[in-house]
Parts: sequence; structure tokens; C-alpha cells
Amino acid sequence: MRIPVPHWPSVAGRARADAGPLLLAAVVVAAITLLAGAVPPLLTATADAAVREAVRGNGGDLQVHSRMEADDGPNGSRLRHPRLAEDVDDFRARATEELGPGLRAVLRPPVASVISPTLKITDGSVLRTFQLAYVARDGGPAVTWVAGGPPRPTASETASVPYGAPPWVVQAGLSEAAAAALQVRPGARIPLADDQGNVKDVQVSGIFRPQDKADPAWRPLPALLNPVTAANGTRFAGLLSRESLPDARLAFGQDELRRTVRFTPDPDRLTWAMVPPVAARVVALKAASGSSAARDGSLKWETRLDGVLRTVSAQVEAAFAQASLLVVTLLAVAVLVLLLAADLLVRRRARALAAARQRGMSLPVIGGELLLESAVTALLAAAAGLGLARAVAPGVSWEWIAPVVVTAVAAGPAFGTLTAARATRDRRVPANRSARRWMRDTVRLRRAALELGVLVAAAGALVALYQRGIGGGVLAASAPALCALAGALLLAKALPLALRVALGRLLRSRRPLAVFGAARAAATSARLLPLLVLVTSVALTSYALIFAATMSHGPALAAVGQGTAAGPLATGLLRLAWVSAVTLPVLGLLGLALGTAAGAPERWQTLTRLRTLGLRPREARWVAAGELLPPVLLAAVGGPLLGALLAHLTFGSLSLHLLTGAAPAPAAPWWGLGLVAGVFLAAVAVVVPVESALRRRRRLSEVLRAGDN
Amino acid sequence: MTGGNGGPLVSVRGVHRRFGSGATAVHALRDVTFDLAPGTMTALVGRSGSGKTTLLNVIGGLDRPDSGTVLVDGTDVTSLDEDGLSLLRREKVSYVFQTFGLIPVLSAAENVGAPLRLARVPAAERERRVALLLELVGLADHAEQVPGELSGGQQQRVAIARALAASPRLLIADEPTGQLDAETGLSVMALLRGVVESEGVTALVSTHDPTMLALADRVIRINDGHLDQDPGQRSDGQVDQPSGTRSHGRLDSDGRGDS
Repeated sequence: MRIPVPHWPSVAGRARADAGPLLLAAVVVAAITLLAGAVPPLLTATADAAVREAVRGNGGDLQVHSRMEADDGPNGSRLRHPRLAEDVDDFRARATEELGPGLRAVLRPPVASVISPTLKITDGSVLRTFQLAYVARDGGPAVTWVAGGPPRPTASETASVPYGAPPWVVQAGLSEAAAAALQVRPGARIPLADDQGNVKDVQVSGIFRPQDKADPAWRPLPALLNPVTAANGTRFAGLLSRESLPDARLAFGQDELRRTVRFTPDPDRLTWAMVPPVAARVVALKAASGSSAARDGSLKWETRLDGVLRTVSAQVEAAFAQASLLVVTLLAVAVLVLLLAADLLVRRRARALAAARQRGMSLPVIGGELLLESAVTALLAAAAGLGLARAVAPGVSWEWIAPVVVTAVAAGPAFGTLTAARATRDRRVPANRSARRWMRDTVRLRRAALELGVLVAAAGALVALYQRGIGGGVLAASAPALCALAGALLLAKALPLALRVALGRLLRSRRPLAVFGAARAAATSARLLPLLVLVTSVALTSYALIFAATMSHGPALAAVGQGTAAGPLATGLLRLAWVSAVTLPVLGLLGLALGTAAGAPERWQTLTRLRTLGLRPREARWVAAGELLPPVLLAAVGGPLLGALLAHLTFGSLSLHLLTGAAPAPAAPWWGLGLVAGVFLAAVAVVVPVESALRRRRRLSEVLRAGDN
Repeated sequence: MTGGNGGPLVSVRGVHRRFGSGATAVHALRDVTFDLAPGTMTALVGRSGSGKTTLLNVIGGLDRPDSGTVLVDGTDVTSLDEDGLSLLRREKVSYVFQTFGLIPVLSAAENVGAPLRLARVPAAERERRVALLLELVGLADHAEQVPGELSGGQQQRVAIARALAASPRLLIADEPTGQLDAETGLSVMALLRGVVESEGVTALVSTHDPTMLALADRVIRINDGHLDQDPGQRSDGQVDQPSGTRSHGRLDSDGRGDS
């Protein structure tokens, strides 16, 4: 079988002749590819920032507790345990091991602490409390002893204490601030008693100065560095050493010292992608924790990290879904504009395609040549868009670009091949009136089925959004776009009826220009695609504006900079909503220009006919405006109303409260909606004189001759 | 003097029209000179590309000659600006095209009344005139039908009625039967012949079809931009007067067989 070979001069010639529409389609593909390619990685980066912000702002330290082993000795005594600090080290190592590699990777080195119950300083002054604490992390915390020295053992390493013995002496170091506040020196004893009035004998071994006050080891008990003033008095703390820790154990009851290992998440090492496994591990650790009543050495994990991650996950997922929704609106309008561009291209080429077919060129060759041209254009444009996306975003996503690229590649060849096929098919209009009606009805039915499909899809998407919420996948995220399309379809179906009514009224008036304008509008109102582009783009622009206004009124945005996790997400979404609100009307205006260009030959043929009846040139411009205005007017009035309706229908299911902090009522940015409507109406005032100026170069005779051909 | 005083309604003198320039230039009209007497039907005959349509366009003010003058009812068409030409077309010159050029969403009656709307003719008078014209072209029963519901011949009749609506002095028809079968084409030409007599309009009709020539008062042949010897053109530059032998009564709409 002979492989069809493209006729290269024809391919190049066609591309040169239609460079304008091809370039326009390429610009749309590049722009949408840029947006669709850049938004997901930008959003992921924002999600990373939100996760870090949430962890930084809400803490989320993991603490694990474990009871110390009993120190009961023979004959009802307690034994001094000289290797208690090593036990703490082992406990820390065990806890670190239990984290697992994923969770461990996002945590800072652990800090182990052994902290006594709160004691009262019984010097008769104002209420002051005191705690003893041993803190340890790898290599720290480092201190400089400015007076005295580190706490030492107060007894032999293996001493035993009978129950009921006098208070066990324990040495502790004080910070300079604490020593000054308590007015004590090394060797002094601090008068202390617990809640039951049991006296504790704590001796000051020395006064220290921390080498790094920011050392995480101080976080378990900040009073170790400075006295902390609170409502219930001033809190002091004394620092135990590895050597004095066994004495502290004996100075208190069996289970009174609280042994804890604290892990602090490192926000800079946490990304959105790590959240699910980290959160799952945290939940597993908590679930496996022994009960606090169990008298064993099992680890008991406590943390709010899972809650923090759960909250930020919900926020990020909502933001992702909301961003998907905005991206889908862009894709939907871009696809419609590309279909319109392909339609314009094929209209311009209809004669050449028919001639090529009549000369014997096969449909596969015609389709192949058109496919070659569209594929080169679309893929180059997509590559340019992705290249730009890579320059402005930390990565590139392919997820959303397929619909635009596929449409750009396939629409032109599909339309062109159909046009060429129709030019030579042997199906004739039947002479029989009923057969003609049957043919007409078949076409109508096919079209009605397609339109019904759009309506059903829109209803399905809305139901999916209501039932599953914004996280309900692509169908739910497509709800506004599909509903806008369905609404535009209904308005488009109503326009011809409205125009016929208007025409009927105008025919009884004495305004000939309005009659001819309305007549032209009625004649062209059956063309759905330009109208769908106009109404859908204005409706979705309005939707994006309402979205942006609603987001910007939310309390979370007011709190940006105050460390809320929703802030970066809300800001990112707001930015995307504004980008959509600017891009969508640009696409709509492009659609207006394409639709105007597609209808121009027929329009000016009619206007030229009217010129032969005596219509003046300036009157022809009014008639042209009369033709172009109704669809734009429909879009300018119906679009914002449709957008507002969509906002009311869908905002309740978008989980906006997760980002705004409260369930917001849709805002009404009337100035923005009015501006969009005004821009589209003003565009008609620009398009008509421009088109008229372009057409004026051709004599009436040329237009008529072209039409007759 | 022109039609108003017994002279020609249309006077074409030394008209040249060239398209393009240099070696590729096409001379569509070369020194064309002739007159048309009022109330006559003249057939303009020639091969494709001979310059028929260019000549019609120059006379009707749809195109401008490179040199020469065209007087229509005493008005120098070549000197008019766009508004002047619009006024000329509104009041004195009308067209019938091969492709009818009707507005698809307007009924036959509204299409016929379109020139009268442009001329701001009051509604009652407009309706009366439209009814008269539809009667004249045999489509009184089809007044409310839109062009899509009419046959090709009927559409061309509507176009002829529309061309006559503003009572023009000159009716230019460019291949009016080009898209019609022979029988329907003949009936349309017969209609044109009839309205020339009934409305007193001067018609210049281009055609390929030699069978249509019998209906014309006069035949002008054009070949490669030149007029061939015109039997109606006398050597002294004066024109033959119309025969005046045909009835000026309305045409009978029966038996046209094109619907």
C-alpha cells in the first residue's frame, strides 16, 4: 500500500496564508500551557510553605514519656542508681529508633529531660516555685560555671535509702539570673517543700552561664535559664548533672520524676509531600502508646503534630481542589477558543480544501497535512509555554495541559477533513419534502443530544460537588466550568427567539438600520460556538472575580504575616483567581475577535448588498454593530448573572472556610463585574470600525464578485 | 442631454478599467463608449472574463474607471463620493445579482421593502408598494415566506421586485439567470422584459445565454474589454429609441413554472 505523502508546498503555502490564526492559536496554547504547567508546582511550593508555617506556628513537638524502672532495694529501702543518666540516654535512643526513618528525617535531634514535680520555696516570701531538671541532647547543653561547679553526687554511687529517712540531699546548679533573684551562692541550701509539705534538701553547687541560650535543650524548662513570672508566682529551676541525677531520684518518690524525650519538628525539612507518611507514622505511634496507667517502661507518645498536619492537610487539599477548579475554568474557555480558531481556519480554507478534494486528494492526505501543521504549531507553542513555566515556577506539571494541546492538534484537522469530505460526498438534498424534513430533524436531534450531554454533565458535576465536596475529583472541580457552559448553551438557545421577537418589533418601527442589524444578528445567532465562548468566558470571569473578592474578605488573609498556615494558601489562591479573572476575559475577547473574523465575509457580503440598495458606509457600520452587539450584550448581562449564580450554587461546597477562617458569603464585586461587561461592550465599538477600515480597502465590486464565486 | 429630455439615460464615454499593473495588468475595459435609451432592455453579452461585470459595476458606481465618464440620468457617476453613490443607488440605480442576495431571516415582503425602509418611505406607502411589486412578480401568495422557503426562481423574482421597489431609472442585472435552470431563467428574463415595459425602467442585463437575447431591445457584445460593433449604436453617436411595441400592462403571473 502506498503511504500518502504530504504535498509540502501546499502545507507551507497554507501555513503562510493563515499565519495570523495559526499564530493566535499558538499564543493561546503557549499561554494556557504556561499557566497550567506552572500552577501545580507553584501551588506545591505554597503548600510546602503552608505546612512549614503551620508547624512553626502551632508547635507540634513530639514528647514521649516512660516510667523509670523501680529502684526498690532489699529490706524496704531504695537503691541509688548510679547509671541513671545512661538509662536516659538509652531511653532517648529507643524513642529515636521507634520514630522510623521518615518521621525521624523531619525532626531535630531529641532532647531528653528528667523533671521533678513543682516545689514551693518556703522562705516566707511571695509565692515562688522550684523544679529540678536534668536535660540532655547530643553534646549539650554547654554551660560555663561562673561560680562553684557542676552538681556532684552527695553519697556513694551505690548508697541505699531506707524508707522514712530524712530528705536526701541533692545538688543543683542555678543560672546567674536565678541565683541573683534567690540571692544564693554556691553551697547555699534552698528551702523547699512539696505539696504535701515534705521538705526537700537542695544544695546549690554552682552558678552557670549558658553558652547558647537558644539551645533546644533549654526548651523543656525555660526557667532553667531565667526565672519565669506567671500568674501563680515566679518559677525557678535548678540544673541537675549526670552525677546528681541519681540523688534527685532518691530525693523524690518512685514515680515523681518525669522522664521525657522531646522531638521538635524542623519546618525547613518538612514538605507537603512528606505530610501523609509523617502524619500516618505519628498516628501509629500514638495508637501504639501504652496507657498512662501502665506501670511498665513502654513509651507513651504525646503530640499535637498529627492534629496540626491534619488541619494543614485539609487546608492544602482544599486549596489544591480550588486551584484545580480555577485551572479547569481556564482550560474550558481555552478549549472553546481553540475550537473557534480551528473553525475560522477551516472557513478560510473551505474553498481550497474542497478544490483539493475535487482534484482527487484523499481525505487521509488532507487530514495528515492539516495534522502536521497543527501538531507542529501546537507542540512548539506548548514547548514554549512549558519553558516559560519552568522559568517562573520551581517545576513543571503536565497534568493539565493535555486538553489544550489535544484540542489545538486535533480540532483543525478534524474540521478540515469534514469540510473536505462534505465537498465531494454524493449525498444530495432530497427532493422529497418529508425526506428533507427527516434530514433536518436528524441533524437537530444529533445537536440536541450533544447539548443534552453538556447539561447532564453539568448536573452530574454539580451533584458530585455537593455530595463529595471540592475534593471530589476532576468532575467536581469541573462543576463551575460545565455549569457555565450549560448556562451559556441555554442562553444561546434563547437568543434566536429573543432576536426574532426583537426583529418583529423593529419591523414595525421606522429604524431601518436596527431592522437590518437585528436581521443579521438573527441570521447568525444559530452559530453556537462564538456565543458559547463569549458567555462562558464572561460568566467564569465573573466567577473568578467573586471568588477573589470573597477570598480577600476572609479573615485568614487579614492575618497573613501572623503565622497562620492558611495565609500562604489563601494568598496563592487569590493570586490564581486574579490571574484567571484577567486571562478569561482576554480569551473571551480573543473569541469575539475570532467569531467576528469568521463571520466577516458573510456579514460584509450582506452589507455590500445593502450598499447596492443605497446603504451609506457609516450606516453599514451601524448595521454591523447591530449584528455583533446582541451576543455581546447577552454575554455582558447574562455572563455576570450566571457567574454570580454559579458562585451561590458552588461556594458552599468549596470549603472556603478552611482558608478564610470562616464560611464566607459570596462577595459581590460590582465594579469588577461592571468593568468586564463594559470591556466587552466597548470591544464591539472597537471591532466594528477596525473591521470596516479593513474592508473599506476592497471595492464593493470585489466583495460582490468574491461572494458570487 | 440625457433621459429626462429624450436623450440617453446612460451615457458611457471612453471608459478604461485596468486591474493590476505592469506586465500582469489586465485591461478589463478599453475605451468603451455607448448610450442606453430610457425604457429599453439591453442585453450585455460576452464570454467569461470579457468585462461584462466590470462594465456593469462601473455604470452602477460599484467600481471606478481609470478614465472616461459615465452619466446616469444626467449624473456623472465617476465624480460622486461614497455618499453620493449611495444616494444614486438609493434613488436611480438598482441591481439584481446572480445569487439573489436576499436577507435570509426577512420575509419576501420585507426583503422587497428593504430599499423603501432605507429611503424612509412611510409604512403604509411601503406596504402598498411591496404588495404591488409582489403581485407584479407573481409572488403575492408568498409574501410572508422567508427566502429559504422559496425556490431559486422565486427568490430571483423577489430580488427583481426589491430592485424595482424604489422606482429606479436604471436596473442592472448581472447574470440574473446564472443559477437557474433554462425554463426558470427564461421566465425570469420574461419578467424583466415585462417590468421594463410596465415600470418604464431601463434595464441592462448581462447574460451568457443566447436564448435570452430575443427578449432584449438591443444586444451589446463585449469581447476582451472592447465593445463589438453594436447594431443599436448609430455612427452619429445617437441611440435607437425603444420599439415601444410591447404592452406596458402588468405581467400575468400564471404559467411561469419556476416555483
